[in-house]
Amino acid sequence: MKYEPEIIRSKLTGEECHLYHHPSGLDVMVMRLEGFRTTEAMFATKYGSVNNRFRTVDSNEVITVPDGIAHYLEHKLFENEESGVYELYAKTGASANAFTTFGATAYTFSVSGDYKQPLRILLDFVQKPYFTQENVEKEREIITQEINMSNDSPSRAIFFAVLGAMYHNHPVRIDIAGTVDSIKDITPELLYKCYNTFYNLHNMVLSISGNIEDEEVLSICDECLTPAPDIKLETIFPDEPAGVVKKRVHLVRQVGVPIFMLGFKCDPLKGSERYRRSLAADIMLRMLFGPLSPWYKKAFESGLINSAFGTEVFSAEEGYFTILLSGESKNIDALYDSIVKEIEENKKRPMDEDLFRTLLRGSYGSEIRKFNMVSDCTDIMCSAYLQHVSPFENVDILSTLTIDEVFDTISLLDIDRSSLCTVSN
Amino acid sequence: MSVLFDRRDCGNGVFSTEITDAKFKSYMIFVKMNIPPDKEKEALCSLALDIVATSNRKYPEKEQLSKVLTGLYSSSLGSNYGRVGDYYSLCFTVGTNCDEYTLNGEKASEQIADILLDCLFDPYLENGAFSRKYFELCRQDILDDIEAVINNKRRYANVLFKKIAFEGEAYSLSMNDYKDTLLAADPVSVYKAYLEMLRTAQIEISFCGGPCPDNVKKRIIDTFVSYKRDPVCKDVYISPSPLKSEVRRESVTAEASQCQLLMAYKILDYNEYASKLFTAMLSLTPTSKLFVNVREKRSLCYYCDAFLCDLKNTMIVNTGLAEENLVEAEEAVKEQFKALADGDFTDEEMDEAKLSVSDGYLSNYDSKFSMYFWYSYQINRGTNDSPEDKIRKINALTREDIIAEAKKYKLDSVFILKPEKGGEADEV
Repeated sequence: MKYEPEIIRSKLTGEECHLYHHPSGLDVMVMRLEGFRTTEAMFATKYGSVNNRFRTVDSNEVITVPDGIAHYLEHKLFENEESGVYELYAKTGASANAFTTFGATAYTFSVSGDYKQPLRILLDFVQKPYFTQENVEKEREIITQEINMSNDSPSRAIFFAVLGAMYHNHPVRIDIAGTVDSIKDITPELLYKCYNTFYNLHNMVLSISGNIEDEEVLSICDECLTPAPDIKLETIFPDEPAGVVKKRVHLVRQVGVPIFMLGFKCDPLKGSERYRRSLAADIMLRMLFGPLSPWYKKAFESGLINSAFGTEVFSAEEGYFTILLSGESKNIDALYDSIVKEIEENKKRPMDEDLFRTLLRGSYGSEIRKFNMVSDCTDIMCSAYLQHVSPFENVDILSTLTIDEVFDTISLLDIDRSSLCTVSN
Repeated sequence: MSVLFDRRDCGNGVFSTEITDAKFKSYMIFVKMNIPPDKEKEALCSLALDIVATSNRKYPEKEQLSKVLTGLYSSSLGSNYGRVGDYYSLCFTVGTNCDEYTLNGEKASEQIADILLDCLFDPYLENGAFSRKYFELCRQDILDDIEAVINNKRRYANVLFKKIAFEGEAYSLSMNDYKDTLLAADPVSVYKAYLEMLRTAQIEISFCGGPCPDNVKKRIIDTFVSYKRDPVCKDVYISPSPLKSEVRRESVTAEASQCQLLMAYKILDYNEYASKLFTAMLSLTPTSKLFVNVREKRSLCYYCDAFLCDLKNTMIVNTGLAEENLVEAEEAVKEQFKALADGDFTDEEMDEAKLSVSDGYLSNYDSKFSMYFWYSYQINRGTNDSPEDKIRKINALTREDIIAEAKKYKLDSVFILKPEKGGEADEV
């Protein structure tokens, strides 16, 4: 069957990728990279840890499932009825993996040789769940150890502590893997319920890049994909108050230098608007608190921060948008006061246009390099698709972003909607 | 597919390596300085390299240099250090877009070469020594990093484990061992150590990624070659670790909920290619012994990996697990070594491992970092294998080669990091 792609092109570099709407219901994104040997594929569903309340396809009822079930499902999908999926991949030389995020679960492979058989394996096993009481039980022990190991990481603990301090009800506050207690309630039946709801091809994407031909990829899709009806999936998120739960949280852990994370809760946005706002906020953060800012110089030279300091805009389609400042400090109270003061002062004074232009130029440089790794291309196409934006969205935004838009994002740094989390001995 | 690999002895203890592939839009320049093991010098030179990465005489403030790099299409500059066998290796790195990918035809390559040479040969000095400010800041940063090792239990366990597995060897040293020297240092002593490093280190300059203009490469190499030097050079960095007469066991506690089990196996008569395939069969492939039998079938751990420190002829097995599984997991790991030594594997398993290793080797061509690490490894071992060369040698291995290699590995050390108390966060 012959398919016509939607061609998506980068205005800056001329790079392009192709989007196909396969009749099975799956959207397929393909990027051919000349001169590369490797092929990387990612078969992903818009189903992550935050999708824990939804309307089921079978009974139309709204159910709430145990925390961590999306991640548990990811582990279990690697076992099919005849054999382990890894054994099938082993015969091809491909290396396979999977991961679960807040908003997605993705299955990947990377191969330097022939990609066609690994692609068949990928498409096949993700469509064939096999959950039994025995194999679900066996996985519980491994995931329990994984959760405990994550709990031993202060940086992970502080991340979820700050989300928990900001969000009252939104499931982003809960660890992707769930808790040792929550996963005890996971059964084969619940896994099937989640699978049948979210692993529908209309809710999924195949992203593939590297040493490939579009026609071959689509031909394998024709061969391996079972057409699925569009079930008009409905995920339900709880109402979330604008304010935070707690202004301050402290965790006691064995750490060398006290660590902190300051989170600002912002109103959620969607699609291109979210993406643009997020990029503007990122530049704002670099202007106020990045290594080129006067504040950073002062804070670094006075010993308030060290090189572990960093900023991040953490947001997604699924109803959360936060700004995070984190790092190590031996005087977190003074650091906090300094950050608050800097925010208030910056709200009153014009931004440094020269610095803005320098940062934009630097961002262009990063964009040029971005599509020069096979794994990055696959990852960027997949995450852009899941977040309803173009893989080359950044370039478009950078070319039109104004300093006024960047300045406007300072208003997101609302101390009344912030939570500070600290970890020390 | 055209990858140029060209290594040259430029004289005066300076070697250049060019690994160029036109498909890359950017490139990195690595200046590696290898020095003989010496705890004090290692500490001082590490700090010195961090200092020269902050500024230079032209840009005496870190922010000024950072701004120039950001304006130069987010070019990068950094320092790192670590061990190559028992030698100490300090690496200064810059990276930038190839000139054809600048927006307005700027010569980014020439500017990044200026910055590299200015940082290394014309640092910002005060009274003939490093600036007090950056000396203090960089020192504190290293000290903070040393303190923060405990934050990551896997990293922490590895630091402690190396102390017993490589006891008495330079390889056992970690940054924590430099603490006293760093505390006693001053800008003068650090600058002095830096100058000595420039004078005596074996210099390996690598240009890796997209094309770097010839005049830029020449300028960088010539600057090093013409510097007045008295280098200490070494052809290969292999320094096997001796096998202990008895297995050394040690256990420590930390605030954690999970355990770390580390086991060192050493080999006296090391066959690089057989050991690589043996490691793959033991740990790297989806059908490997440790993954299938320790994790998947018996659910004894969350991870169980083996990796080769092959300049030290040592294989390290690293397992993250619950305390109640410790004894069974340790036995299970030993059983997998024995299974391979007894020939308890199918030809199919061996062929799959060969396929996996080959595939992994070829994938190196798609990353400039991987290509750099590939050829650095070759240089350190005194070999010159391309990925294809190595694949040919590994594909020629037989069952008997694997069995023979497996039999030579002997357990040397076992280290356990155990929970001191429950790891649940106490919220105050």
